[in-house]
Amino acid sequence: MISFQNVSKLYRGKGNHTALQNVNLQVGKGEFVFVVGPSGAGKSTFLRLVTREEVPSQGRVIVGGLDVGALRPRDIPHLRRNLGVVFQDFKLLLNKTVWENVAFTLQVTGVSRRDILRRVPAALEQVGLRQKQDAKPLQLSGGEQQRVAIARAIVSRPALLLADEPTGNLDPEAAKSVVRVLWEINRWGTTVVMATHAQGVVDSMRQRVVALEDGRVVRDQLQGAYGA
Amino acid sequence: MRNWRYIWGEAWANLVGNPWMTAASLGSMAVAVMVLSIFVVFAANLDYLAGYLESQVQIRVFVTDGLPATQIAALQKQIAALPGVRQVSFVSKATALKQLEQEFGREKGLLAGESKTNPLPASFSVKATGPAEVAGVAAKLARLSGVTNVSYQAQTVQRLFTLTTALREIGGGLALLLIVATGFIIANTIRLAVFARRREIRIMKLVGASDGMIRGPFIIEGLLLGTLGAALSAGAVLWGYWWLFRSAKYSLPFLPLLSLHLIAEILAGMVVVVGAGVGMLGSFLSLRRYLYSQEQV
Ligand SMILES: Nc1ncnc2c1ncn2[C@@H]1O[C@H](COP(=O)(O)OP(=O)(O)OP(=O)(O)O)[C@@H](O)[C@H]1O
Ligand SMILES: [Mg+2]
Repeated sequence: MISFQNVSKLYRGKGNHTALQNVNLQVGKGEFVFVVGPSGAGKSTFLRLVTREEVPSQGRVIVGGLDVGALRPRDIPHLRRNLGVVFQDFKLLLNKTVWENVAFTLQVTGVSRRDILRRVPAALEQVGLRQKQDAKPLQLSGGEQQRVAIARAIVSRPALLLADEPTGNLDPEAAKSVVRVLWEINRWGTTVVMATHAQGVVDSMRQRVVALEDGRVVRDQLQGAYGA
Repeated sequence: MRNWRYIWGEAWANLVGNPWMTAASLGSMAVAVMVLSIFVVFAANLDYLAGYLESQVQIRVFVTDGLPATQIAALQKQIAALPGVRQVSFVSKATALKQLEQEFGREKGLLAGESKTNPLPASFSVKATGPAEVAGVAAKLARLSGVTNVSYQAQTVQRLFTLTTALREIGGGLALLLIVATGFIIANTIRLAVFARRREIRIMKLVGASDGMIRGPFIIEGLLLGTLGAALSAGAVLWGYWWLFRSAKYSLPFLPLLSLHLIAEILAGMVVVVGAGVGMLGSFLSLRRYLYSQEQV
């Protein structure tokens, strides 16, 4: 699903900063992977290279068979329609209802009305928010908002779901509900990669853990834990 | 296409959702197009007037007093055969006097004493094929035998010529300036709209919306703003012209004015070219500059 081949990422600017260094990593179809590491280790950079928000300075990033770094700008939408992305701060549109936020993904990618009417309820069902579909984001709890964001990410049925600290703004209860949803999505066959600081979550799940430090992979463990 | 529904819907929602922005932008757009339309209407009429006056320019060819009728007829044929001459008509001494009397109307008495010995010479009234030919034709006429004097309103023709040429040049420059200004107005509005919707745009990009889908609503928004603003002022100018046209018909019946119909066509053309064209171009350029400079996503 994802293949990093000798990938380095150098942020240019005042004092060039190497965010990733010679990263080699494979993530297979259907896997659930935690990416952990201290702040500034390069977790977000790793995810942004997958979504083509950044391009590698060196090496190749292959996602679903596409050489992401070499994509022509007009082919980027094709890559992203097969990815779902979730962020720490939800990034919901506050003036739209839950339903509209989820439908938005489909509308702007040109999905027909009929399909939208079919797929939005299914996605909301999957995150357990069907009955809140007419609420505005700010009327929901943090955990609910994040689940809306997850529904938005999966409504296009991507093969890969990326989550960058999805529980970072949530209390432990809400965090649990979000992780449970991600886990279920993974059960249905979607590959999930989640960058996180949430030690409790990682330790309780016992999934593959990739630990980054200073832009290098320092540990890659099946059924791993947050700490070594 | 269903995408179009979304794109138009978003553009419309944007315009209606930010009424102050929309009003401000429509207002400045309307003012710019208003100045432009007034100028264009004025210039078009002046052009028309110049053309009309040019076509009216006559060359007066005075003939030797007492020239026999046969020679006059021969001279008329000779004149008609000259290149650049469109029309020749003979004005006899008697006709010349009658014309003079008509022009002075009630003060006929002034001329009464003189009518016994008519001092007015017979002449030919010659029309050239175009204003540019007037001078050349006049020179040729002066060389004909039996002709004593040739006169035409040289200065009127010349001045009109320079005026219309200057007007066209100034008008072109002004139009360009105003078109650029309206382009900036639209571009700025779109820039603010892009800024206001940056979250949405970011999400659109992340979920894989195509470029057309992201830009579409803004382009349509520019199109709507441009067309609406231009149509607003064109409508106002047309109304003003209609009003002037109507009053001029009574107070200045001899003034040649372009018909309302023609002016409406010119203004409609402006709405399409300036309003719609500049509106779309303005937002397109704005998008190039701001949508993709924010991030290289
Ligand atoms: N756009 C950027 N320009 C310059 N430097 C950047 C940029 N983005 C990240 N960096 C730097 O690259 C390094 C890795 O950043 P990254 O965001 O990937 O870390 P992270 O592991 O996600 O950290 P956190 O846990 O705090 O989110 C950091 O030192 C950061 O300062
Ligand atoms: Mg991060």
